[in-house]
Amino acid sequence: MLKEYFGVLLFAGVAAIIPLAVFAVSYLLSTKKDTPEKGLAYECGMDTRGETWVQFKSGYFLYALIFVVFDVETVFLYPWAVKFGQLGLFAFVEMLIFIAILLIGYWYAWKEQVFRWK
Amino acid sequence: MSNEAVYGIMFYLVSAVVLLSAVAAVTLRNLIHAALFLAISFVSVAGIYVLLHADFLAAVQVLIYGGAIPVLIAFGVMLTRTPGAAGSNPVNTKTYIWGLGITGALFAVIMLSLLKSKFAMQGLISKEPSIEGLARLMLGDFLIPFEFAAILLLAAMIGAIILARGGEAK
Repeated sequence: MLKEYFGVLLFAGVAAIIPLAVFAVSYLLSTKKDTPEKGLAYECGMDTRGETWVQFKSGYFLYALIFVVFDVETVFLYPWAVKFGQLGLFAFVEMLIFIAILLIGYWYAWKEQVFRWK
Repeated sequence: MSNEAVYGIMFYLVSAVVLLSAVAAVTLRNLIHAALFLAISFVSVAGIYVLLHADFLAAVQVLIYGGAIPVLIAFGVMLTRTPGAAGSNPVNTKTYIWGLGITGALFAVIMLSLLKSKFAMQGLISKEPSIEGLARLMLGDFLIPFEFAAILLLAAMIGAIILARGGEAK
């Protein structure tokens, strides 16, 4: 069974090599003339003002939290999805109830205007 | 090369990545770099799970520890005000001795119990992917705990929303 995972290893290896190769090519081919402007953080071509390391609104964090909840839901969906063919109608109804319970949370977040951008 | 040799090489390779990225996560001065190395460490632990034939656990490790936890840490870094990226992960040199003592004691306890226990590994590892049995058990015998997991998640989500919005005016 473990032999099947060599594909994953190969995939990870290639995924690691490609960005390194891109950096290597640009390092070898680019002209190396540093100006202060080149060291600036890129912000749509505008000059940056003040600190680039700023504090974000807590509104972003709620998106992350709700993402985590539904990420955990994926963990429960995964075995069900793999064995969907053999599990039958009963498991399908169970999973519908599972998703419905979590949709209450989604509805609550919606009602509390978590997704509204102020 | 024999299967055992390949297995051994893979185990030590993955363990080295886990440990080195964990060390980098602790020692790097930029908090975002530290968080990225922590994510690498978490994902490599999934490799250890794969080597132990725990395929479902490996998938969970990648989904939760590779996806969700680094996102939360990154958001945590973004939300806190620090003077800059360079010194955002300072080292506390005052408590080095304490840290060394406590981790040393923990290491000793774990090693002692590892050396004393006998591992009956033969016959425990099943050849079929663990997800098959898990799906059958989770949606069959353990139906009620499964649905309770949904309620637990719901409670966590609503609690997080209430806590995060507590300071804001309605």
